[in-house]
Amino acid sequence: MTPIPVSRRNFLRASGVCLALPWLDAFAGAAPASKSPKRAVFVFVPNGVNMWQFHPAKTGRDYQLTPTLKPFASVRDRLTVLSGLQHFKVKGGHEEWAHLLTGNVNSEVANKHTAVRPNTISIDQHIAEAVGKQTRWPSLVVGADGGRMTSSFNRQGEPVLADFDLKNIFDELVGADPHGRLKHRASVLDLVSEQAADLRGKLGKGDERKLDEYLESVRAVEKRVKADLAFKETPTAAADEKRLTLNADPYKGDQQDDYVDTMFELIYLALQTDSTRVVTFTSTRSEGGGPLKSLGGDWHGQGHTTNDKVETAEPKAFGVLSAYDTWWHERQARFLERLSAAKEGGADLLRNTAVFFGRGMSWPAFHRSDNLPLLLAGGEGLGFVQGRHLAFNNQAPVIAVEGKAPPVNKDFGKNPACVSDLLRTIAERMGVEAKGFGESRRTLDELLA
Amino acid sequence: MTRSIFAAAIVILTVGAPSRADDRADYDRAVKPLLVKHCVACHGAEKPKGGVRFDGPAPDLTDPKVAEKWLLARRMLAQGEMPPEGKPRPTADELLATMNWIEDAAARAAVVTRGGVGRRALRRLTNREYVATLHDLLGLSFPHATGDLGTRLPSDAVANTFSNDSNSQVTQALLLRRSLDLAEDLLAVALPAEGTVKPFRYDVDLRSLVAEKHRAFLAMPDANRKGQRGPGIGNVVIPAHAKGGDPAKLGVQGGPNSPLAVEHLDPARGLMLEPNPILIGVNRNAVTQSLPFVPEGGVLRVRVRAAAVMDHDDSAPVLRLSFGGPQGPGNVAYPVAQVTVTATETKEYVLEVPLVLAECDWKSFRREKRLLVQIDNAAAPLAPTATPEAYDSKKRETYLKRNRLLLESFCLELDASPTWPPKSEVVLPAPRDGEDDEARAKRALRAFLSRAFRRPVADRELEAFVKLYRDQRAAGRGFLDGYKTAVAAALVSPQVLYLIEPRAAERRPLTVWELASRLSYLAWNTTPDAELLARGADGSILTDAELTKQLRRLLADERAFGFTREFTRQWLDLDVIDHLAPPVTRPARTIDDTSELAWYDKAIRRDLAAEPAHVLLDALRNDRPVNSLVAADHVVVNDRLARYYGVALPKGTGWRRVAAPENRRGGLLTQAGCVAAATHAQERGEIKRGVYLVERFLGIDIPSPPGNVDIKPLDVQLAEDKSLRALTARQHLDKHRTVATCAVCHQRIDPLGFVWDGFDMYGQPKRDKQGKLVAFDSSGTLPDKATFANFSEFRKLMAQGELESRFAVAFSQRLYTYVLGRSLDHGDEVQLKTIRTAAAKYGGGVRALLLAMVLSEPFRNK
Repeated sequence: MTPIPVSRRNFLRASGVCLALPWLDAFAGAAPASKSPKRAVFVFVPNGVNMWQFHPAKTGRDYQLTPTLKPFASVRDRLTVLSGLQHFKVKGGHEEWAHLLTGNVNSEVANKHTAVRPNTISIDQHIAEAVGKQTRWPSLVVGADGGRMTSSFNRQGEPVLADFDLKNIFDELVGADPHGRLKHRASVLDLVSEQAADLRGKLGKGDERKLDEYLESVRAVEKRVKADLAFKETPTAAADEKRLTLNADPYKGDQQDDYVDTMFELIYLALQTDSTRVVTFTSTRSEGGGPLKSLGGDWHGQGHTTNDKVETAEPKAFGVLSAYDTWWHERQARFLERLSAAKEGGADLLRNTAVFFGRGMSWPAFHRSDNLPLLLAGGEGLGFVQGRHLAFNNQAPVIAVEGKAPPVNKDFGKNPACVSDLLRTIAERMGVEAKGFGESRRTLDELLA
Repeated sequence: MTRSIFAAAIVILTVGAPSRADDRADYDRAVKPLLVKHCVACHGAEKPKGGVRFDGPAPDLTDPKVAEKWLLARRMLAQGEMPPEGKPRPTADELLATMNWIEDAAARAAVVTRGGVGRRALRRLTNREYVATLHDLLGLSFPHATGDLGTRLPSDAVANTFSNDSNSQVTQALLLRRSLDLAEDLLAVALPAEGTVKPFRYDVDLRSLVAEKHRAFLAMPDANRKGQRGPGIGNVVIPAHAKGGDPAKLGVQGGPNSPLAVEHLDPARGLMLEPNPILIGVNRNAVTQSLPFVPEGGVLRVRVRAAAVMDHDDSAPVLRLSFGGPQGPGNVAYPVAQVTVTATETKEYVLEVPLVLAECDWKSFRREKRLLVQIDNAAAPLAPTATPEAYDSKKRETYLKRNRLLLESFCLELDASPTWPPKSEVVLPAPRDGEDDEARAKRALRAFLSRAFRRPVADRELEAFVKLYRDQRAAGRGFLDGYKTAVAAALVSPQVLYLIEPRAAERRPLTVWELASRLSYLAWNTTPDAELLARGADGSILTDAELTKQLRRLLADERAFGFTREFTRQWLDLDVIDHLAPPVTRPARTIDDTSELAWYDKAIRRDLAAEPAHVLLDALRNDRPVNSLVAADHVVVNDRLARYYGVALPKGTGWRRVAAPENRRGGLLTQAGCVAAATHAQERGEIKRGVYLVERFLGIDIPSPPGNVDIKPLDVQLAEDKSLRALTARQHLDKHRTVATCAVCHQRIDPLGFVWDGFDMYGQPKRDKQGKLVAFDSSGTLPDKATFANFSEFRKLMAQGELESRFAVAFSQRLYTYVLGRSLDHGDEVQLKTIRTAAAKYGGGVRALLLAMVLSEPFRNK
């Protein structure tokens, strides 16, 4: 990858693939690390894991990477493996994607219709509200399903629609505007927002609320158009085309790898170009149809098959889970490597980016949601200390009890911690107050020292 | 039908709502005694079971959570689920008084909450409605283009409700941005900028090429000729027509399975193409023309003189157009358009593709500066093997006997005009003599906005759009650019994106325009046509007679398929069929060609998902009894499904009605697509099937299973207790219900789990590994405790009772939800009863039911 100091327009014509890199050393000069922007990436991974192979036996610095965590070997010191964390009251089940980043106690999974709605704001959007103005896009919300299958929720508790189309994300990232439409969009948007404002008075209360959604959307697009236009004037460098398979179809078994790899690459590019500082990737749902469903067999079904037995009792089912976990970890590790290879203000991109790989399920057979298999990486510039395995809530190592999974830990000790605490800590390290977020009662200072 | 039936219902709903004090007195008299006697012991202040209490004062049912709780209580009382077994039962009088109170209070509360009888929140067009609307407004129609432009918008699917449910719709920046992109892309096709498109044209006479090749072939020595496959035509230079373009190169690729060359080349008729299952890799069985450039825009039109050579009892050939990059092992051809060729005498077929809308790897094409246009025969096999029963795995057939596509000649051309003949007049009329630009823009905008807004445009509104045009001109843009900017604004304006129905202080009837829009988006999934708007303009649409006539007209139109497809797709969860992992047909029983098999698999899934929409459309058009949807002696199938079901279908094309075989007489209930969608490809799918039947065919919502279950499901108990393994699947499920927490729902789900015992996961008769049919037992119990010994008894139970049958009641709820574009609440049950009564009077057909819904007050009122 060679940064070429020419105007973006010329370069676009030459290759069609280039991006502004305001924070690269070449452009940002030797900016001190502390001035670098702080960022957070939240990745939701569906389903539980092979719990026998996830959490290391030892806590602290000299823990051993377990078999399925092996792909993280090269970034072991930039990573924290978390044991014992869970939501306090939030339930798991198949709607765990909707709760992971909100910690919303009120959305009990009692009814299919209310599981997701009404929800409360998710941590990424909470952060984006505060820091989003500094970048071209307040946040980047993506997922293989897209649309309403998203872990991001706005202040009103409505889902923030996830973008799924790799090509479109890329085009917007590079500001591709082949037909020169952007500069006329402002007047189009002005007109439609006037029309909506005119109509607003004529509608009933419920309708007004719907029309307000429309008006907010118009305003958000207006902002984005302005930011995109401004973006075009900045200097540029090329993206690595080999890493982008923009036409990968996540519904096709043989293209799932490419889809997820490309999505991670796009997230990397969005961060690197400082197009946004908050990213949420809701990969896919745990159950049912949808994309990314052919990774080494039917992992959801095999998860049920494990019946929380020991590995030797269900070797095939656990094998499928391990392969599935490894598949994800390989991709996640590559993403971390990519971030750590990008220099920024005397450090690297990963140092200024807290990356949360979260799941809402641990033992998959009955969708247990205690002792969640969570990982936190990077973000040392935000104060996180990495390279450890930390256990919270008196969590004991995963050891079989009577030939089965250990029972749910009920004794959390004096200073219990939950997922909301972790999310809040990330927000506050980014400088965004999040007291009272979800179920949070405290910050996880253990992560900082 | 008269409106008085409905007027009567309204009186019940809106007049005579008792004051809250009356309500409380009634409650104390009618409800409280029963609660104290039968409920409060468990659901009182002390450790209330399930966290539910019934010891408080009269509840306020306008709180949706409270209403939900009380309606659930009512249902459980009605079905005898509460009080639990073993406890004393309330008397019938006590029960009736309590249930009536809950029902009345909930109905009154629902109307209060909703704010009016037909009230729904501002409804946005769904993705598919929006795409269809854009096409209609811009006068574009590409009936043969493949690909679903709706997928360019963020998915609007919502679990367990319809995407047109206004209360569940979410509008956000992402949607608006994508909508604007799409609108601008389509607008660029409808009104291309002058000079941006470089036209070209190539004429290829395949017959003379073939004749020449054939002569050369005959001149070969016999020994060389023998066994030569494929015609082997390559690198033929095709000069461009005077209209433009650089010379292109033509090639014809054979394939390993293609017949001998001599069969391929018919000097008198042209080139014969076997079906081509391959889209990735080296081209085969295809004509390819390589253009030494990549066109930037415009509409590619391919006129082909072609015919079907129907030598075999299999699919008619399909003329497919694809775009690809350079040939080679990694080559991918992207299908962009196709049409089934049924004519046995050569005739002209026209395929049109707007390039900007074709989903393919343009980046690679541009890098190579080359576009490969491929024509082939895309007929998927009708069956995975020529003779399913007599297939001998030892003597593997190498290829199926397939029908060929005869190509005589083709013409490949690209020009600026969107479709042939050009329809852009509807978007931008030609200038009049002496008219200046602005006057023309204003005239055009007035006409366009009136169509787009589905009502006459107000001067003030028009002026805003004319001003946008004027500003664009003032900023130095040309006439067309300025005009297009104003049209683009209209296409994403709230007036187009939403069905706007302004408020009034009181309940009010819809205006003629609002009603025309509701009707059109119901029956067509798109914007009203000129006729419907005319019936709005003359006001006649407000009459029952005209509304009835228009509904009939709309249902007879092909756009009505949009309605039945959307409704069935969401009601029956049919999208899932496309994503189920295991192949529909096991390879062991089929041809020895995996690509053909995968191809068949794709085609049959599409057919399985489409069948319910065709059945419903047939039922609507012919006003067949509502219960015929679950009990019918016929099926509506195409050739491939006919093979799948093992029925003989008379010669013809498309979807046809034919007598059903013994095991397919349950309408939707015996459609393989429904079974597949219900089973989710699970070997032991009984519970999934039970849930599907209970929710979708009996209209009872089942909550999600608890997330962190403490009580172990049956399979775990089994795993832990080996002695239980001796149980059959049925006993297995029975055990499930002995656990109280599970039983609440599973006593309704499980007894229906074996209705489809005779079908495998894709709805074929269940067979063992040797291919022999296995014995099955479909008996079970409905949630209301009616029992059945086999499938035909089940079908009878579902369908008996005319419009009050179990199915008809559930179906009318689902349909009415879709018709109104909002979730139903308790106030609608009265309406539905009236609707079913009215529909019964008119013969009890599906169309009568839909008509009664369209004539009902909630549909015609705000």
